[in-house]
Amino acid sequence: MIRPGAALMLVVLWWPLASLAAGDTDIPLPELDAHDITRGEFTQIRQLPELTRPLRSSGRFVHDVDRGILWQVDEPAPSTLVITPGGLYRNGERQSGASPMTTLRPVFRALFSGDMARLQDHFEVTTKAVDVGWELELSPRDSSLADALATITLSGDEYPHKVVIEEGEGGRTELRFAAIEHPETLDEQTQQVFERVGKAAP
Amino acid sequence: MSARLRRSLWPGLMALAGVVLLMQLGSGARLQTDLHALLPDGPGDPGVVAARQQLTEPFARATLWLTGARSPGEAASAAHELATRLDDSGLFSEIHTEIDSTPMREAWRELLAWQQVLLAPADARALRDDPETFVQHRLTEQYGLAGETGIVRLAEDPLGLFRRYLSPMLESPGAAVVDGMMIVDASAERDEEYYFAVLHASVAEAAFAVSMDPPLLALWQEAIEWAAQENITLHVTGAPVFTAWGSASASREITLIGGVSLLAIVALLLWRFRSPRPLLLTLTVIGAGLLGGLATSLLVFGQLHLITLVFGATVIGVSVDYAFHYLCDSLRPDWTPQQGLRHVLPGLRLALVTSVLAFLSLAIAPFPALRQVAVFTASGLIFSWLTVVWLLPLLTRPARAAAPRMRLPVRRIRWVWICLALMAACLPGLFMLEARDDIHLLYAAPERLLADDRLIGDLLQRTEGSYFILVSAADEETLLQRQEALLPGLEALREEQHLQAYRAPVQVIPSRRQQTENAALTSQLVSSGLLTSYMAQLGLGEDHARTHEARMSAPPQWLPVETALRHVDPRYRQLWLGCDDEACRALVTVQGLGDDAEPALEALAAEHPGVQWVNYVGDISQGMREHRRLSLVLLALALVVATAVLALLLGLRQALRVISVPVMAIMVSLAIVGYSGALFSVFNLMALLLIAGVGIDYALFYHCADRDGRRSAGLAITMAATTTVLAFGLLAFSNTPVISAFGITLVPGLVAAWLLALLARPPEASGTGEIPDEPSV
Repeated sequence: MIRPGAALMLVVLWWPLASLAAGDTDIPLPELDAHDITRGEFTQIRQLPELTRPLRSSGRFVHDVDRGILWQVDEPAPSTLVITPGGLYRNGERQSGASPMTTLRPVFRALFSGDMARLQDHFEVTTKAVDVGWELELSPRDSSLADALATITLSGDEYPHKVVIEEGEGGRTELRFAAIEHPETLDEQTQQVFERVGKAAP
Repeated sequence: MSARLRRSLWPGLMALAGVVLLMQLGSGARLQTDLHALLPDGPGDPGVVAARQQLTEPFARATLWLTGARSPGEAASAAHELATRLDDSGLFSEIHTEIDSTPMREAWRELLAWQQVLLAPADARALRDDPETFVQHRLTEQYGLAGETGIVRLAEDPLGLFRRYLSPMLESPGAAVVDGMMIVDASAERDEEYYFAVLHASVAEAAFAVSMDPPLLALWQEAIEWAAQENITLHVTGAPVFTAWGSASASREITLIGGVSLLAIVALLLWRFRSPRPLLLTLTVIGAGLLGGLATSLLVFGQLHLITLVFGATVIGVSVDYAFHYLCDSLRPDWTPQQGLRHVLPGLRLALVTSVLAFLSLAIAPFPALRQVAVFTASGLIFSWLTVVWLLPLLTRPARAAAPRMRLPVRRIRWVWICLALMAACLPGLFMLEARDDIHLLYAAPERLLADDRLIGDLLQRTEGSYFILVSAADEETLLQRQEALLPGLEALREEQHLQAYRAPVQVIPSRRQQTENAALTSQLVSSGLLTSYMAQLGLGEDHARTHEARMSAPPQWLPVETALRHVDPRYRQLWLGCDDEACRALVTVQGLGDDAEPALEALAAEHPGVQWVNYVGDISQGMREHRRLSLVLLALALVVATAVLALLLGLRQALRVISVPVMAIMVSLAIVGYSGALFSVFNLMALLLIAGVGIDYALFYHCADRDGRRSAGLAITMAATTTVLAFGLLAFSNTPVISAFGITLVPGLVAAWLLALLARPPEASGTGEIPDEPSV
């Protein structure tokens, strides 16, 4: 029921923003710079046992610490997803009912606040030794999440590069990030996207 | 009646009342606090009654405890600790912490067998109007963030039709489950990261016991202190908590009001008679009244409402009049018990007849609580009266003291001028009366509990039990079709923001007609080739694709209502009321109503056959308004009846003079409520009835007293008025708005009745303006 992507995206987008106080936890977590706004490109490869070939998509994303997340797929077919504190909007339409994404909102906000301790409220976090950079494995503490995703693996160096979600029944989603930058302000178009869904909110 | 007969009658009567009371208490009679027991009964629609019960019954014993903290883990561990505390208290029969959604998810999975005929209503519309675009959107979604997954695998439901059908059932206010505890995210409400863990606890029977210090309330207080120490927030709601608070508050008020009244009576009697005997006799009279009132009401109704007990304390106020009247007569020189009875009996008889008639006229009102008050008061008064007439002459000794003399300077003014002047002063106040007929005024609850209830209601998106749409039809299929017809209208109201959400069984149980249409739509997806090309674009394995195509184009299997009900979410199941001999019924609930939502919903219901908009609380307030008017008429009727009775016995002129006392007192009371802007509702009318009863008593006692007895009669009504004002004036400080209004109404009326009774003496005594000289105390 819960989409692994939600947690995944969150983790990913949170990454460059968090500045971690090593003293807060006994796990040596990577320290990354905190930023209000993050912008970048993504490639998603989704594999399921019943599919003959993986589903590949690519596009751009924006994270604003106050407004939320914009996930914009350009290829193979354009679509947008906006996640704000007020809800989830697909192509500008508010998604009511069971959206696993909205149920993951607390996870999102915990991560984007830049407080590493919050991550451990939702996941068991383990670090893995790697040659270059770092790798973290997250397993959800929320039992309703655990059905949908077994583990989330994050890896990167200065920035997060890759997120892999392993689903329980053989599904696997891999997200790769590129061209990450931190503008001072949102461009007008992105601002408008957030404002439109703000108005659509009840 | 001979003295011997009286001697045996009274203990017999009391013993009988005592046995009845004990039997009723033994058979589990309990104090009723349910608000709805106070509602007008009237010709209730059985469908509406059943519907309301279905919605509210699960909540009768349920309490909800929310522990809040800045992280889900903290909130959950606090809730686990709280669960242990609740469990240790022994007050709860069941405490739910672990949430296991597995059985529910399995039940939903089983519905997959009918996936061909199960479509979300919106998807059915989209597939009819523009299947190409619909399928295109589904494909796009698969490329979205982490794609679309659900309870079933992609191969079983490649288009996501079944997942989308299930989606309203998956909607849950519980954001997550952490450490087995349901966690609600309240960050949006609080503008900071904040989570609540939700604990459901069902109260055991014992927690309902009426007491001044209910254990549930004590537990609540302890929990609040514990939460403050632990630095978490605690919110609690649930009918049992409100009941416990109401019961404690009422018990405290009864104790306080009864206690002060008794103290005043004790002090007055000791001061006046200088002997404990009259005191004991008065207490016996009051006790007999309460015992008789309790026994009779329990015998008639089987249970008593909290409000009845509070208002029933009125018995003390009136029954003490009878005792004082007789006892004060004993202050006359050369008094004997039999003489005393002869002196006061005419006044007492008239007073009892008029009071009982006045209180019983309340029983005409179709409010169960008013009827209980009527029976409690009338029977209590009869018991007190019999005690005065049967028992007191046997036990009263001539007093050693004498009645004081009284002087009222305004006595030289003609009665009719006093009346006219009072009327002129009161008239503007009567026009300033502002009626408020709101059932919530009956309920006292501390602000914290009310605030908690609102917060929890918002967080958990609780369904209101007090309003809903009731759909009825002759059979199940028509019932479903009528709901289907209603859906577009509801959707339009939601889009116009008249309401935030609605829930109808038909959203997850399509009618046979709709299932037929759904099957046609899904098989068309196969025959048009849309499904095939979609699955090819997605890259679904060929075996999977062929299996799915075969499933979707096979001859459809219909999902029977009973099977569907077993599988769907309880939130939908509880809205299905089922069928009886008359009709099949279901509810549609609406949430988050806007200001103009009600007329819109009423209009929508009017457009569809078998559809009815029900607003229970609105109906109740309407009922209270009607019964306020009705009670005014009843009050006038009671006064007319009293006048007629008095006219027969005393002559019209005297009857008018006597009755003008309560009438003026009622006017003064109403005018003061009007001037002060105090609450005015049907329950003020009950205070006015008491004023009428007491006013008639005072006027009659004074009027019927012979020339020599006037001084003792004056003393009797002065003492009676003093104690009653002291006792009921305290009601003004009650936590319950209506009870407080009762007190505010009562006090000026009682003072006026007392003064006016002394002024409105019969004309033959006018002239000297003072009571004939006798040795003073």
